[in-house]
Amino acid sequence: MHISVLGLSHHSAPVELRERVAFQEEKLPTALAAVRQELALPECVILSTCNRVELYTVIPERDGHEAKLKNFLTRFHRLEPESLDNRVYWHMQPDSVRHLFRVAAGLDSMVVGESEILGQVRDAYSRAVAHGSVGSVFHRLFQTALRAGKEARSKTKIGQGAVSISSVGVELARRIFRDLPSKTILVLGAGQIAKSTLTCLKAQGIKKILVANRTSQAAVPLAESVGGEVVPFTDLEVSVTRADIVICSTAADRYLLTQPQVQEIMTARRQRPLFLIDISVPRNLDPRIGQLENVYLYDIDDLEGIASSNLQMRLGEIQACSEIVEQEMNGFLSRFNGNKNGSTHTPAARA
Amino acid sequence: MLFSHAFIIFVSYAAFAVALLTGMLFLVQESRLKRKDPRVLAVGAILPLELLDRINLYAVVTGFTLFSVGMLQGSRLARLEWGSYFNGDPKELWSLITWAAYAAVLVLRLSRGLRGRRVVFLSVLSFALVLFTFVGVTHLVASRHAFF
Repeated sequence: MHISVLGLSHHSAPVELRERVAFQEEKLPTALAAVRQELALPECVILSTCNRVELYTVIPERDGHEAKLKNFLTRFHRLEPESLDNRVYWHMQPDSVRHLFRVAAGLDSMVVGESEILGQVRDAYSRAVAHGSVGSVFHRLFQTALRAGKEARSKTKIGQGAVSISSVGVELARRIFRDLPSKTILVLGAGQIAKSTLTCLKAQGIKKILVANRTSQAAVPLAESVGGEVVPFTDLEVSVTRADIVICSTAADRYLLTQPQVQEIMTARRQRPLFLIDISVPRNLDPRIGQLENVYLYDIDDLEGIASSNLQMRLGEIQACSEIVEQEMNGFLSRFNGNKNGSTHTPAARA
Repeated sequence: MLFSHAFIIFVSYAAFAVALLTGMLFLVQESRLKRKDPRVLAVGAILPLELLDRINLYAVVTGFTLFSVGMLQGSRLARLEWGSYFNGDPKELWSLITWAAYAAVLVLRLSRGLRGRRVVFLSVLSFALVLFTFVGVTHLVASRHAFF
């Protein structure tokens, strides 16, 4: 009995292929049932995220299953049989176990140490449990992997520090403002990074959102989608006076706000702190605004600088994190091999 | 009365010390934010600027109020014991200077609407006067105040 994994990830396959191979949530029960019945593999967990699609299975003997599972993937997703060539990886014990543990710890993620993957592994496991595709081997394997993933994150700094522009923006806001949910955000323009930063800030509980755009065709849908209020682009000073956080990403080729303007705004605000995020290129906010008291102006380079310095820190933790994963894996394998010889366990095939 | 005078002044010093501490944290955090130092997001630095600023203000208000009460008591004691409300004793003099410094902090903050770095810095600096009045005067110059 061997633990194996067949999969493809951002390391091995482009996004065009990954999205075709991804398992939609509603297709998952069918897929799990197909593996169980057609391939006669009692234990299977399918991990399908936007960065990876992986089939974990327990196979009775070492040979022959790689081709069968690959074949299953192409048939299930109606792909040309050769489309997966050189795009998938196949691991057996102990590499398959190591792979899962590294995935759970975030070591295999595109953004090293990101924590979302741990939840995705947990979901994949519990869905497989719900559909009767998990027996005693995978119960132990996935529970150990989840624990190892948690342990690696708590004992090292692999998951610490914001590493994306939007999360750096949110973290900075949390270092400036006392009661974040009570603050007001003003969005100028509607770029992709601006939207994701806005989404992250909304997740912190902020409710008051003002949207200004030169064309109301663009402002209205954005305002509606985030539950915000459309404000005229022409009275920027009024809007900035009301706001605490300004996210700016227009395509303007000049400064929308100058230092003297913001100075007046600050007097009107009675010097309440103002956090300006300028992610537009060329910049839309005069850099000299940042010299004013109680004004914190960050442009895209500043945010990226902080994000990359945090990423460097995470990369420095890979070694320590791998060691924890390796330890947990060895512990699991020695228990697993010890048990395998002693008892004859039959995976519970509840269908 | 003498005990109460000393006690109240002592508590006001404690409040000024809180202002000092939060003020220093504020200044460090604020300068990191301005310089875009990645350490601004360090795990330990979780108190937001606004909160530090708020505690700093409340501490100065508390300290100033108590210190004022303590000084009034002191001047009444001085009238009883030494004959006049103000006797030019170094302790009296430096207390008055300290009081004026914190009064300035509050005036700038509350009536002029200034806040942030400069005012917080003034509250931190004023603590040097507290230290001098509290410890320095007793040891460095002759004062009629026996202790404290």
